[in-house]
Amino acid sequence: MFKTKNLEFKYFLKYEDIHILCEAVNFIKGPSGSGKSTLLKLLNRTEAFSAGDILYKDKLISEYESISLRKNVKLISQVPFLFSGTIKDNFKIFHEYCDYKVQLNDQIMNDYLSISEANLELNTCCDKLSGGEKQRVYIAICLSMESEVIMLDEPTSALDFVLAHKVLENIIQYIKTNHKTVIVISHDNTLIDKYAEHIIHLKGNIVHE
Amino acid sequence: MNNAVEISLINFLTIYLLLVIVGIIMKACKIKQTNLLFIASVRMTFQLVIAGYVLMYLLENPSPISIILYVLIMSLFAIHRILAINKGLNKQFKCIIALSIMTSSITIIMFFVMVVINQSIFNPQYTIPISGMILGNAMTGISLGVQAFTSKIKDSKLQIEVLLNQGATPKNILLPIVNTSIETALLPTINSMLGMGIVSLPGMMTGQILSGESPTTAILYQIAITICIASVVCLSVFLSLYLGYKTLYNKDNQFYI
Repeated sequence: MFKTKNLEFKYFLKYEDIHILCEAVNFIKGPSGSGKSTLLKLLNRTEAFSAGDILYKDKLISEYESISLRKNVKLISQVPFLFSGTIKDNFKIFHEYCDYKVQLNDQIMNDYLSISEANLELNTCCDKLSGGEKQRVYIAICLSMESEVIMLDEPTSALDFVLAHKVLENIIQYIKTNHKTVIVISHDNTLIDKYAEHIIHLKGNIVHE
Repeated sequence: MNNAVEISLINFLTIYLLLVIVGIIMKACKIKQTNLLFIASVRMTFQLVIAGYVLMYLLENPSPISIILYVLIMSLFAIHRILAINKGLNKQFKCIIALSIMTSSITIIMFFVMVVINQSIFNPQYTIPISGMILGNAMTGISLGVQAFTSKIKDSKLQIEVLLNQGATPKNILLPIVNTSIETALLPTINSMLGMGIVSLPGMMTGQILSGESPTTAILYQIAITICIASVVCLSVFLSLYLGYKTLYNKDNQFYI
């Protein structure tokens, strides 16, 4: 799905060449500062790389229009963000901001909420949610705007062991039935051992002048 | 009706007694900016004395060049004040703000003097005081609007990042912030319109009445200038932010913030 070649970020972070497999569960691990989150931002072009190249479906990512690339390669970042208002409002606001035209109804919203184990009433006010609940609602909303690739940055950092496994299991089942690709950054080796089909180990080659 | 009484210098100096009271209260309340009061008073006095003499000269020897020069200096000073308050803007944004305040102020000034009062734009008696009021208010308006915009952007960093990652265009993300900032800039002007004539007699009208003008003429001027102020604030903030927000990201829709 993705291939990188001599990729560098701001001339100090150098990546070994990476290969992301199509329709598979790809995990990225590595020490902090090894550029895991940055790699995901380079893949969806919210950050620019300083040298090298990234190929997406055998085409340079610079040849894709950046907004449509991001709609197809969705990054669910580590810290969740929700607008004030109900869960239902949030689905609508996000869809509107992203010009996502597919019709929404309560059934669809509930389906996505159950994928991320956020089985809450749609008219629950988001200001009252706990950190873990916010994260799961946020994941559900991001998943609801369908994309080919889903990139999750520490998706279960605010969740306990059981819930973390359950959420990831549901997401993997969802991407398998819908033939999508997933890239997950995680520190949790139990998750990696259980679900990874392909592991990318970043060592963090900091270039010294 | 009589013209305003000339104030004798000795009587005039008694007004500074009030400043001493303000200074004592500020000191007693341990307000840190007490020195600023002193500097501001001295500067105000000095600047106004100079302005008085310059205006006297301009009114006695009106020439297009000196009027253009005077208005230009006023606008440059207004631009300088705005940019001094709003540090950390990129160069392009700064240029846009400067151009916005220039074009919108000059348009409104010309409209007021040439169309509403039907005078030559080079008549210093009208152009110079009107320019001062228009530019001063545009300056406050833009400052408010730009400050609101930059502080909202700072507060919304997470929101911006999340929406960008979901494939929202920078335009969709930033326009709501632009719109609420324009509202912030306009509200004080609109609120002052609500109380005008009941709670307060505005400065321009007061001045005209003091100098012996009939109140019915004074209100016509006041209504016109108030509408001009609202328009110049709206126009200049609208132009600054609608053109300015586009300088915050590049053609690949990556943010600089």
